[in-house]
Amino acid sequence: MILLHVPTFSLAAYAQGDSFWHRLQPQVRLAVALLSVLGAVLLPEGAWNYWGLYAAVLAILVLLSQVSPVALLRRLAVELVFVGVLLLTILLSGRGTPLWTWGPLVIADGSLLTFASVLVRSALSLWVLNLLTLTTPAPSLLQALAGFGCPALLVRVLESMLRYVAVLVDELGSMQRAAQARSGARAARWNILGNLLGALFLRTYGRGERTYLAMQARGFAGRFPETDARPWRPDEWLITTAAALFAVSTLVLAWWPL
Amino acid sequence: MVEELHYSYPDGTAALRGITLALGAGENVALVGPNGSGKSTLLLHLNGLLLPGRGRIEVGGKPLSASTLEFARRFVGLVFQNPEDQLFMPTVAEDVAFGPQNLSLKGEKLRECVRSALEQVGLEPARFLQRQSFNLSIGEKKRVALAGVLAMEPEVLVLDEPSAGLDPRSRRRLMRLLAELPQTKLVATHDLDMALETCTRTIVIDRGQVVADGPSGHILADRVLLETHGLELPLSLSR
Repeated sequence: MILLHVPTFSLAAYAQGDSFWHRLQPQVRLAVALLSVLGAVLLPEGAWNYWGLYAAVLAILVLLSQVSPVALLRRLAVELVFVGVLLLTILLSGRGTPLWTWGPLVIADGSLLTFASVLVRSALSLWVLNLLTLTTPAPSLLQALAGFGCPALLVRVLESMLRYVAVLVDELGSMQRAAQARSGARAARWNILGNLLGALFLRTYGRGERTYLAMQARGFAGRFPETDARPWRPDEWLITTAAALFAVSTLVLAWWPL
Repeated sequence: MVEELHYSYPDGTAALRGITLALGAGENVALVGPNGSGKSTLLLHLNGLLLPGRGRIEVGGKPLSASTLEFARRFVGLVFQNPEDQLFMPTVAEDVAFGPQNLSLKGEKLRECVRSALEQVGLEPARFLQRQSFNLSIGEKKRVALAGVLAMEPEVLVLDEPSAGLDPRSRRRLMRLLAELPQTKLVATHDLDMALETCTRTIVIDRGQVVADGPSGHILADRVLLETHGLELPLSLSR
């Protein structure tokens, strides 16, 4: 699912805000987001009350972070359409007592419950991840990953990929316009697009080579420098601990009710 | 100093055929020549990105070889023609810090070095440090690329087509900046007016060989020489 977010990484439209959420360093925001995703996803099927609780907490977080609910909903809507289509197989798996039949398609109560539960889990996870990507620029997010022990080389490769997405999109755009200008067609045809992508691949290769030369020119000898991270403040520890406690206690209460 | 430098590309095309030149400390030298004359290939040799096929290069008094690469890369700062090739880190701060970090600079010293490099190229650190690299104008990208090299405090600056693609105001700003920088400079360019204004000496190369080397006022006024080698008089001299 995270792949769906890649194009939106650079569009951290609410990254400049000044709120309680923004004052947390990216690593803390990432930790809180991951804990919430983990907590919401591991709840048992049909844990509606607990998911309601998560939704309430997230709603408060949205209000606090000053992100426009409309912007958030717009992203969620696009992503949930994808998720919904993928989940249709669960809905139509026909587990349990049939509720509705139409030819070979059967919706049964068991599969409906699983479908709804997975949908709610996805919606909550996407909600918190969108909040994170809307408020945190991609480079900071990747740095936060490095802070959690993700290999530095992997983080740098991801950073470079994101850095050059805009350049590649620009190049593709200008090649496409150049092709259109000489083809007379209103839109590029598929075979032209194929050639463009081939040329783009070759250019990417050349650019990679030149970028590497430029890195060497500035003394790069195969090892990326470490980045210095700021230690967490007491309130950041407190918030992360609270998020962890919230996740664990809802899990315990939902799986082993009193 | 470059002596009898030869270089052929892997496909056998000879790019440099016996280049000999020497740069004195504090000199401002323009390197001009038609497309494909070997300018960029020569520049890549100067801080060891390409090693000579035949001939000798001496940087800061030391012969260039695999063992002196680190020194050469610190001594000679190379600014690439296309800033997109050079600015590969996501933010301006990280990109400018990349070179000095490779020289093991850390903490407050590193931050100070980044800020001072940005100030040298006329970019306000407060406004630019956290800007994302892809989100800058071409003029700003060029200046950040230059800052990234200045942050390594090189003795010699080698610039490949610094004024290409700049609007007149940015070009003028760049020329002022080049005039202010104290380093020895070698500027490969097709912008002969800029060469005339900012460089006291001009070297013309064609087909991998030095064909003329002398005071800019003399070389860049020689219409026959320039036209023989695919160039033409600077606008300011052709009126």
